[in-house]
Amino acid sequence: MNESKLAKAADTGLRLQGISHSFSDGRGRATDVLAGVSFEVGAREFVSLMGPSGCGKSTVLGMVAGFLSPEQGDVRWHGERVTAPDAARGVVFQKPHLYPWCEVYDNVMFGPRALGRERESRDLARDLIAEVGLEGFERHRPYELSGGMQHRVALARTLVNRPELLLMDEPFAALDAQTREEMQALLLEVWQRHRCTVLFVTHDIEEGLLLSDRILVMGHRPGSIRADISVDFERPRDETLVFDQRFVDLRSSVRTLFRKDSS
Amino acid sequence: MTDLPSATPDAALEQVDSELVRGHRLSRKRRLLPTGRWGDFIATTASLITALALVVALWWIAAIAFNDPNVLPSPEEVADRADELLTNGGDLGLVHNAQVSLIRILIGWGGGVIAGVAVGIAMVSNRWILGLLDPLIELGRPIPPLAFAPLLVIWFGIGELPKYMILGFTTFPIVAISTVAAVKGVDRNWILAAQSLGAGRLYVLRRVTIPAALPGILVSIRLANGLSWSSLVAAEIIASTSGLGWMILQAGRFLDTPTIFVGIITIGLLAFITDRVLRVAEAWLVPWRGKGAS
Amino acid sequence: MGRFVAPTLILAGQQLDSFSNISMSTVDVETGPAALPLMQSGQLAGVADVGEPPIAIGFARNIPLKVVWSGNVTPVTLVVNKDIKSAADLAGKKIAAPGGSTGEIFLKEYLAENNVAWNEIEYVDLGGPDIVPAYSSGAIDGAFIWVPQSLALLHAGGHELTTQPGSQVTIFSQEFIDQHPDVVQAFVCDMAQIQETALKTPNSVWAALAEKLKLPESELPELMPKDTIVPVAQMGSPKYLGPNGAFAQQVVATGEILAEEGAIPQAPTISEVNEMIDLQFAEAVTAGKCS
Repeated sequence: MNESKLAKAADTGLRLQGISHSFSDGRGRATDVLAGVSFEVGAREFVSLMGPSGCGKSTVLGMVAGFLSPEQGDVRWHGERVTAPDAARGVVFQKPHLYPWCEVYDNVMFGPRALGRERESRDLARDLIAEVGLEGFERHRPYELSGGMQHRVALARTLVNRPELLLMDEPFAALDAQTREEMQALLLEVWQRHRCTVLFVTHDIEEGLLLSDRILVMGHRPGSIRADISVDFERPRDETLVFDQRFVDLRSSVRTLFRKDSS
Repeated sequence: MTDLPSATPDAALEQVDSELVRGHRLSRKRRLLPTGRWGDFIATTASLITALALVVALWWIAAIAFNDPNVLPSPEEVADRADELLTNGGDLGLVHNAQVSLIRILIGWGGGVIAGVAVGIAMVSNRWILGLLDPLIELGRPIPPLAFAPLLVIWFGIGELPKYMILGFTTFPIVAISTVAAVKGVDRNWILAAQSLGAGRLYVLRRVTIPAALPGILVSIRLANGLSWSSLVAAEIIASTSGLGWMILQAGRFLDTPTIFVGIITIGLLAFITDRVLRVAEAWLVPWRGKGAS
Repeated sequence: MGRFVAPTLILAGQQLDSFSNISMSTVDVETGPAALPLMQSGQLAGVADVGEPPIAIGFARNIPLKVVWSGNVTPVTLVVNKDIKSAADLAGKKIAAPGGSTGEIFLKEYLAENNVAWNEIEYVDLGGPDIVPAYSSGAIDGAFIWVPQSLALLHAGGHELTTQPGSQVTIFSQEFIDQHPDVVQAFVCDMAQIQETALKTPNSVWAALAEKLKLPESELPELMPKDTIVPVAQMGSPKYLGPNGAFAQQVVATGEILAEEGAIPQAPTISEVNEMIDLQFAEAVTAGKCS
C-alpha cells in the first residue's frame, strides 16, 4: 500500500482492517466470533451493519467504540488506532442506560459536564430535548418516562456531545413496532440536521434499508463481511419507502443473502 | 431490568437479596390495597398491632401459667417497672441508659459504616487491596465480636472506645463486603456509556459507580444497624456502668426480671425505629431503587 | 442430682473432686448473684463460696434458700495504685469491682464511711478475671476484689487501702434440702474434712494458691492471713453464722444498700436473715455423724 492510498484511507474516517476475535466460554474453550472483518465508513455516511443474531456485529461496534480491543487487526479512526472510548465516537445502546439518579436534563448534560463544556452546551441540550419531543420533561426522572421516551433521552444525551461518529447498537430492537417507527423517523430527521457519520447495527433488514446509505451484511459465526450493498434511495426518506418496488426488491435479495448464510 | 447488584454466593448478599425479594413481595401486595400511601400505612399499622396484640396475649397467658415473676413477669408488671424506670430508676434509669446506648450505636455503627464503605471502595479500586483484605474480612466475619472483648480491654482500656470497636467490628465486614459486591454489580453499560460520553476514571467513579452502588450499600448499612443493636449487650458487658445492655446485665444479677424485659423491649423498639428512619433516608437518597430503570 | 457451683474456687472447689464421695458436677460462676437464676430454674442445687449479696437478693426475690455452711472468711481488699494514698484521693479515679458483688458493696460502704460520694469516683464494672489486665494496663486505678485477684494486683505494684472480711458461705435451695438431705449432709461432711485438713496442714493450701497464682509461695503477701478458715466447732458463733452474728449483720447491711439503689425491692431484717441460716448439717458434723 503506497503513501497516498494510506492518506486517503485515513480521510474516510473509520477503517477496520482484518479484525479477528474470539471469546472464551470460561472453561478454557474459545469460540471464534469474528474472522477477518474489514470495512470503511466515509464521512457523513450512514452505514448499517447487519446480520443474523450472534454474527458478532455488536462486537464490531464495541471495538469501534473502544470498549474492547480486537485480538487481531485494528480499528482506525482518522488514521489513529482506537484504544479507548472517546466522546467523538458517541454510542447509543440497545437499552437507554440512563442514570436514574439524574433528571432528564442532567442525563443529557452528563457528557458536557464530564468534558468541562457545561456552559456552552446548555442551549444545545435544551434544543435537543425539544427536538426529541421531551420539552417540559427536563426535571423528570428516567423511571417516570416510557421506554420510548427514555430512548429519546439517550439519543439526545449522545448527540449533545456533537459526536463525529454515532454508533448505534440495535437501538430500537426492544421497542414495540409503533414506537420503533417513531424512533426511526426521529433518527432520520435528527440525522438530516446534524449529519454525523453513523454506524448502525441491526438485524432488521427493513430498518437497515430504510435508514442507510449502505449496508454491510455479516455472515454467521465466525462473522465476516459477506456483502457491501449501496442503498441509494433519495433523501429525505419516510416510512412510505417500504412500498417502493425498488425497496421491495432490495429487501428480498438481502433476505436471500441472510437465509443462504444461516442454512 | 434492574440496577441492583447481581447475586453472589456471599451470605451477606443473600441477606441483601432476600431484602430485595421481600421488597418485591410487598410491592405486589401493595397493588391489591385500595388507597395508595394511606392504605399502605393503615395496612402496615394494622398488621403490626395485630401481631403485637397476639404476642402480648400469649405472654400474658404464659405469665399466668408460670405464676412466678422471677421467671416470667406479666406484661403489666413489666409496664409498671418501665414506668418506674422512666421516672426514677437511679442507675437503671431508662432514658439515660437508652441515650447512652443510642450514642454508642451511632458512633460504633457509624464508624463501621464509614470504614466499611471506604475499605470496600478501596478494595474494588485496587486488586492488591482486594486480594489482601478479602480473605481477612471473610475469616474475621464469623468471629463473634464479644470474642475480642478481653483484647479490647487490654488494648483500648475500659472507656467508650472498646464499645465502639465491638459495634464497629459488627458492622464493618457486612458493609465492606456489600460495598464490594454493589460496586462490582454496577451495570457495565452505565460505565461504558459514561466513558463514551467523555467521562474519565474519577468522574465515572463519582458520578456513576458510587450512585449506582448506593442502593446496595444502603441496604447493607440498614442491615448493619440491626446487627449493631443485636451486639449491644456484648459491647456493654465489658466495664460498663450504663447502657441498655448493662442495664439488662445488672438486672440479671439482681434477678430483676421485669427490668430485663424492659431492656429487651427498648432495644427492640430502638432498633425498629432506627431502621424506619434509615428506610426513610433510603427512599429519599435512592428514590430510583427498585424502579426498574436502566 | 443438681449441679454445684464454686465461684472463687480457692479452697473447697479445687479439692472437692478428690475428696468427694458423692457424685456431682460443678460449674464456675463469676459471682454469687449470677448463680441465682440457675437456682431459680432448678438447674443448680446450691452454690459454694458466695458472699452476702446473693442472700439478700434471694430473700428479696422470694427464692427459698438456706445458708448451710461457711468455708472461710476471705479478705476482700481495695488495692490501688501509688497515686492514691487515702480515701479522699479516690475522687475522680477509676475503681473496679464485679457488679453486684461483695466487692462493689464494700466499695460503697467504704466510700460512705469516708464521706466520698459514689458519683465522685468512676466506678468500673469488671469481672474478676478482667480486673488484673485492666489494672496492669493502667485502665483502672484500683479495684475492690478478693483473692486471688487482689494478690495479683498487689504483685503488680498496687497497695492495700482497706480490707474487709468477706464471708464465703454455701447455700442450697430449700427444695433440694427437703428432697436430698443426705446429699447435702454428705457434701457438708466433705467440706468439713477439707477444712480440717487445711487447718492442720495450712501449707498445702498455700502451695495450691501459689501454684494457681504462679507466684513463689514466699511472695504471697501478708494479706492472706492463715486463720481465715472457719473452724467447724465455731461456725454457729456470732463471729460466723450465729444468730445476729457477723454474717447476718453484713447481709442486712448489703440488703439495705441494694434496696436503696432500687436493685431489689426490700432488704431482709436480721431476724429474717437468721431464719435463712440452717446449721443442722454443720451441727451433725460436730456431733460426729460424718464417719
